[in-house]
Amino acid sequence: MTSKPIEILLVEDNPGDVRLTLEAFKEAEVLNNFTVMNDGVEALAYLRREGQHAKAVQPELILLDLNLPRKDGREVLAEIKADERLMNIPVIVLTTSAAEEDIAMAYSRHANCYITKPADLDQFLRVVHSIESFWLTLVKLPSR
Amino acid sequence: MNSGPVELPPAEYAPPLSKRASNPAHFGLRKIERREWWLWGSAVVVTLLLTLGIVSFVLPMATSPFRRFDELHMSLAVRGLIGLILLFDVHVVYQQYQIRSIRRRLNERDELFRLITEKAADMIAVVDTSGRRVYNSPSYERIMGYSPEELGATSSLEQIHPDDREKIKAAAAEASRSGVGRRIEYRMRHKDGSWRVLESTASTILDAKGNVNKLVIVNRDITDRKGAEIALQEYQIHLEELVEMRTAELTKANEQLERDITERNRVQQELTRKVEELARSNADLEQFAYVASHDLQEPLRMVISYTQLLARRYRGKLDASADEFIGFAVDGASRMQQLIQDLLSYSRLTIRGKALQFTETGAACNAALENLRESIKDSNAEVSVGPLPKVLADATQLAQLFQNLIGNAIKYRNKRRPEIHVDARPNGNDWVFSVKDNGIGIEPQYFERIFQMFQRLHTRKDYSGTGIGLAICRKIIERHGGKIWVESQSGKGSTFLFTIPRAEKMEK
Repeated sequence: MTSKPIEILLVEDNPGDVRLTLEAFKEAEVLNNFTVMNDGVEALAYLRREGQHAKAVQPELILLDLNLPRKDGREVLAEIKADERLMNIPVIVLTTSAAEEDIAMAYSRHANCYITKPADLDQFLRVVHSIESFWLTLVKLPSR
Repeated sequence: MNSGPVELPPAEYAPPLSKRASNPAHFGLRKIERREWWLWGSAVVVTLLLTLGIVSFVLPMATSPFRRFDELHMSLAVRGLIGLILLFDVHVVYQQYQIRSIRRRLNERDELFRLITEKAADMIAVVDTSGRRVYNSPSYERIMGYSPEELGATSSLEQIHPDDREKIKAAAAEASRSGVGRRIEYRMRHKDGSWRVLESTASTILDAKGNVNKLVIVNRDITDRKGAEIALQEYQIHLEELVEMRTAELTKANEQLERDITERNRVQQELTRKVEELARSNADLEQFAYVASHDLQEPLRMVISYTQLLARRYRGKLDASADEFIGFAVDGASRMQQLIQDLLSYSRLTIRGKALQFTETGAACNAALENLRESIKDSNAEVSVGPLPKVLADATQLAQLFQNLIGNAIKYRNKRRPEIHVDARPNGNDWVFSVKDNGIGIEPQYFERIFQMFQRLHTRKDYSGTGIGLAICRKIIERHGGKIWVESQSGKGSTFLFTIPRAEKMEK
């Protein structure tokens, strides 16, 4: 195992959720480095290293919320998966929505997985743990 | 009775009585006279001849000396006289016979005339130029009550209504002048005092010089016809009035009807508007409930997550009160989350409800039992299911209905082993389903309340839950066009019953 932390981009506008996710990943065993973007436009600019994000680090995993200001997660997902430089980055849709149409939409735009945020903290921690053990540990990511 | 002059069409041409047709009886009498004259004439001739014979016989007897010769002549003369007398007798008998037969014919004709004038529907009067009644037919007596003699003793105008007298005089004058009578109507007093309406036509009888001698007036009693005419007229007027009245009534009724229709249309429109409003308001409410519960989830998740995070990181690190407070906060937030989820599933019943399809209720019940497998096992409940029909339903909701009812039956159990029986029976146009248990039962005053949203009969310590289950059941059943109710005895058990319309006909 390399000691180099995994670069994760969290696209989430709700500070409570941001903090909660960060807190949950704090308890993870794998080293990780979070970058947080609060809206869809910023997130895409970061990924494309536009403007002030010229020196941005390419993330190895994206956690994407669906309900975002300016450009919502559905469009962001579509643009990522249409962009040759970005399409190979795994995108985990992490949202409160359990709506069937959202799930279907996400997979049709090539989301790598879709997770509904559980309300209960313990369950949320379990989810984060699962993400960690699967995506950060088990799975071989393309850049590595 | 109509007293005004009645306009009548001109009378048909009535020829004046000619001499030829003057009187057949007169003609017969002349014949008799002629024959009598012949009798008298022949009698005189015979008498003269006899006298001459006797004289010629007696004179020679006294003077003639030629007796024998005279005897011969006398015998011849006697024979001649006897023959003459016999001839005369034959002549008399013949003439008398003729006279008799003429008299008989006259009598017959007389009788016929009497019968005609007596029995005729019309009354015939003959008046002279001064207005005196010369002849009155016997039919007057039958029709007007006066005998011909009574009438003969009075002036022809006496029984006539005073208002009509001038009219009659004018008509008589005209008839006398032109020889042709005009048909007129007038009133004549019956002997009993009542007025009869007569229709009369006058014709003239001329004397030998061709002057008007008499008027023959034929009268007909048209009182009944007149009465009928008047009655008819009155009836027609009455009919017209009736028609007018009916028309007016009809117009009025029509107007009322139009007003009613307008009013009804207005009410209908109002109703349609209200229904639309209600539907919109219901849709709004459901949308609101859905959106609210959905959007409420987000901040609530924050509250729950962070209170739980607090509890996780700081339990035992602050004081006992802090731990207790955190506990209440976590518990309250969790309950609120449950309530919101229940509200969400309640509002989803219509928003996300599927179209009703032909469904095996048995399969829906089995699905519910499958979901309840754990709690059935834990409670050691005995669940029996009778034969269940096919109905038009939303299979998912039907399963949820069974799950809620059977789940309640297990949840609200007694100390006894739960025995639950699911059954259905036809009743009229419905199927009546029943879920019967031997649990704690419900007191009658709560039979209605338990179906209301978030109404509970027990503390959370005794029985968990938000009180949405039966409200959801009722909403599902209402969506299926049925009713739900409970029969129960506290401590002995409850039976929840619900109906769903039968759908056998639609299967075909």
